[in-house]
Amino acid sequence: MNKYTITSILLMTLGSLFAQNKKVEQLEEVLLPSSKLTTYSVGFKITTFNDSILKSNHQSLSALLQTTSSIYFKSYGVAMLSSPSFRGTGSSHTAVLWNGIPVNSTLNGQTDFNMINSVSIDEMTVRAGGGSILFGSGAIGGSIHLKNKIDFKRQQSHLLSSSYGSYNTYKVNYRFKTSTNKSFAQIGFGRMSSDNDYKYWDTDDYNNNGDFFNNNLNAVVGFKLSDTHLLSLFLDGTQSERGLSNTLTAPSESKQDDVNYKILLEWKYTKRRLVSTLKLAYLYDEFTYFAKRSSPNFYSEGNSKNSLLKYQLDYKLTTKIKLLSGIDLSYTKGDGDSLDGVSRRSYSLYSMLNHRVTHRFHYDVSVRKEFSNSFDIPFLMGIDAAYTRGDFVYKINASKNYRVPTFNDLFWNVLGNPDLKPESSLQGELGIALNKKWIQATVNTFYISSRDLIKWSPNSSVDVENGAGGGVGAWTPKNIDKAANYGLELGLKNTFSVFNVQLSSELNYSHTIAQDIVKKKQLMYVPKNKINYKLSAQHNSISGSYHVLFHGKSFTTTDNSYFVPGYSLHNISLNYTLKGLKNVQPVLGLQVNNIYNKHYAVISYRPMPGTNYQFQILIKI
Amino acid sequence: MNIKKMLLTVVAATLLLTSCNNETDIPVYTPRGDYEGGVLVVNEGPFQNGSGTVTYVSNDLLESTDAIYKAENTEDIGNILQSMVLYGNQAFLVVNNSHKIKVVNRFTFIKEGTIDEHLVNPRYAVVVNENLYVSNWGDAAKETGSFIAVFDVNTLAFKSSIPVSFGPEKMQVIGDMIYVAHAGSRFIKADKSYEYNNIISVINSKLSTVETEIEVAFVPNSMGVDNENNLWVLCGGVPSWTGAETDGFLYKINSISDEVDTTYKFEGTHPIHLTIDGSNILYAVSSSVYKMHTSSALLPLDVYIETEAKSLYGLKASNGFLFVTDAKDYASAGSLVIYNHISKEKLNTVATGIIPSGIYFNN
Repeated sequence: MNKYTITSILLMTLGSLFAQNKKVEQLEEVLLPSSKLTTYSVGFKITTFNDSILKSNHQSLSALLQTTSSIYFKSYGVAMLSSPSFRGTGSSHTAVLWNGIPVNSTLNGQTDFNMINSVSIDEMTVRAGGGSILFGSGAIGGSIHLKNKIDFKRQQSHLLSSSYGSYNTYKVNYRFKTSTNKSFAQIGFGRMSSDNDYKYWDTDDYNNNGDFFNNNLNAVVGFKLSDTHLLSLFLDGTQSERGLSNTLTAPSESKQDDVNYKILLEWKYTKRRLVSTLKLAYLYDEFTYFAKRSSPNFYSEGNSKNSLLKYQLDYKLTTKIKLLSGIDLSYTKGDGDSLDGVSRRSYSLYSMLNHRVTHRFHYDVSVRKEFSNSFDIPFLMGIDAAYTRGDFVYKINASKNYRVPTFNDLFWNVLGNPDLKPESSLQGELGIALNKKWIQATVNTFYISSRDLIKWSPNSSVDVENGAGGGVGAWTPKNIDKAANYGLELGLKNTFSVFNVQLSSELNYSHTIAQDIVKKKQLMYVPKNKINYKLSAQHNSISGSYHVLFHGKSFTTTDNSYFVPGYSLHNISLNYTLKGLKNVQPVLGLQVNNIYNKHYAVISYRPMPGTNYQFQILIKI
Repeated sequence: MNIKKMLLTVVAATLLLTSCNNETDIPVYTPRGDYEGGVLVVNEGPFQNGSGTVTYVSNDLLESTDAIYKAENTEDIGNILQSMVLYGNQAFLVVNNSHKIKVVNRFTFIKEGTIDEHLVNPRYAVVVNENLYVSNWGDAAKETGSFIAVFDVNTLAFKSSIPVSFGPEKMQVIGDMIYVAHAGSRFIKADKSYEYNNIISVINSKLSTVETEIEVAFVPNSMGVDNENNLWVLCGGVPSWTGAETDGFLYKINSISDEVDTTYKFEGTHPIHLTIDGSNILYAVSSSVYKMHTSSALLPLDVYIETEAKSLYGLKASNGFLFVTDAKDYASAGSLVIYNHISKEKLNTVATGIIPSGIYFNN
């Protein structure tokens, strides 16, 4: 990022602070809805993205989060694997939950955000900080919650959005929703496809094997059986085929096909002080990798099946004290070319207490213990609190968190290490939030100490004596790494208006140190500095926004000898609402990404696209 | 300082030998480039997203400079620099995952050409009778498809392709014959397992055909020639992680009859990196280096030099020196460690690029 950009961001931010402020409508993002997620997380930083922002014109869910939060996405390319990381933790250290069900891959622990269609969900909540007690394995850096909403009111609506853009990129999404005061049904379909054949800057090469498509089908059905009983069913299925891009130095002819589907049946019983929720879920994930797409008979494959039962009891003990207790049962199976029909059973018990001591001071205490047939999982405990004084909220939290080894780590033919322990982390966070109508500011500092981090490394003779598979020199997973992450996050949002134009600006800055304890070096692919800034404006039927993302350099070797250079990325989006029609108000949108045609890469030797365009039309009936 | 002095003397002696090979010439020496003399280390580079590099180690073995190709040509070599062959004034850089060979002047490292056709997963190269022979694993999606590609070393024009058994790797030239070690493996999907090869293909370079195949143990990973023109083949055996582990073997093969003369068996270990210096054979098991005489009837029992390498990845013995590369954690700069293999003394350590594998003398 050049000095000009920094100065202009500062000026715009400062200017907006002093601009005349009127009471204006909050644009797009809405803060803090009341839910279980927030009740038992009073001391955490939580940001919610609502329906309208999820359905607005953005490239993808990972691009949306990349440009509006402190989350880092290790993104291999436009449609390729892109998994979120909070606060310098690893790509399997973010728990992703879909309607309360953990959906991280059983095989590799990650969640590929390029496999999630943002139109299929109604609300996304980002919770920074450890959350293993509430959400289970993997919630070390933070958690992301994808949710479908059910509301019982007489309505019927259609939503159709379609876009076309550079590199022959098509997107179409349709959703139909109908409900009465007793029943709710929704069905949605989405498809995206692209040639994705952008030029690799400074070379004659281009992304010649990056074409992809994905299809998503989703449905939600809900029945209010009585005032106390609610039965709902959630379905989501995605199928995708994507070419794996060539790098600047290596051609590629490979391709990956993915299929996943999720089924969730939920029964909720609400009576006076008690809410009882039973969830039954089945998740299926499958990948097929073709080393050469022209040879479809030569491939490798893997799949996992996960059955889950979750039962939760939320009880209001007094007007000030709430208790939540739950049990999770899961049975997971994995199979494929590198796993031989393996399985794992586990169950967890957890309990938490929310105490509103005064209207200013709230705190939570929580505990969890998971039992598994594969390994011992430590007893977890956490505490968090919030204290409000004037416009300020002071937040604090501390917790122990964990991640269980993946099936690849445990069971990979011969090389897998069934003796692996879960990774564990201890962490603490302090935060201050300022909440005024026209400005919200947050400052958070965190410290995360992780140990027993799993890393694949060549066996020494001592490892082999200790039982490592494969002999000396073979690569096997071991609990060897220790890391310390600490840093600072700043957030500043404000809304104001100038000459009848409603403006809102949002700035996020994060400074992250993530060190390998032994080497005393910054971990690979953790940029120390990340800034994003967004300025949005609305006037009558026109709205627009300007995004700036600055990413510091990130190291690509463990001794920090090589790095991917930092970059700044500027995007613009414009929307125009066609008025005059009676029930239909189509919104026309244009998005221009990377307007300065910056040459950048997130992963070294994997260039990202130059200036590209996307036109969108959105119709709601 | 003793070490420095000694190194300088040795190296200076080498230089003199190479520059006054014609006794009638007045020994006026003009350097042919910045990288003349010294040692070139080939670094594979990071596994997925990156480029291999070549490290230049100065003539006195005291200093090193990484990425000399990029410095001279402002471009990357390519992904997974597997090996290099030096011939005449040229160096041929074999880039596995980019399916290319980059040709440079070995003394200036300025690029002179590229071969990017008729190569599929190229591994190693040798030059015989003005022809460049390149072993290729071939298409990963085909069970048969390994070949030796032949190019004219002067015009870089493609000449022919010799089909061979799967997994051809290192090659050794003796006279007109090329011995190709098939150390590679292939995945057999039906069995969910890897199949390993156990042959040495013998190619007659005059005819460009496979004349015979010598059966050895599994995974012939390195070869060398002794003073009596015997071919020595070291087989690592099938690694234990496959679940079908086999023993390592060493063979002494008569290169006239192509018959095995002596067989040495390793008990439960997997030797690698055979290198011959005069009548000494050196090889490694994990981070330990063993040494035996070419006339020995038995394998050595004791470790000769216990290196401190975290991941010993390359070995080369020459004129009493032993060069060892350490790939460390495979994701950071490695190192080249130099020993005197007569006194076992460790002389110096210099930094290399990422995953250093091959060691070549540039004089």
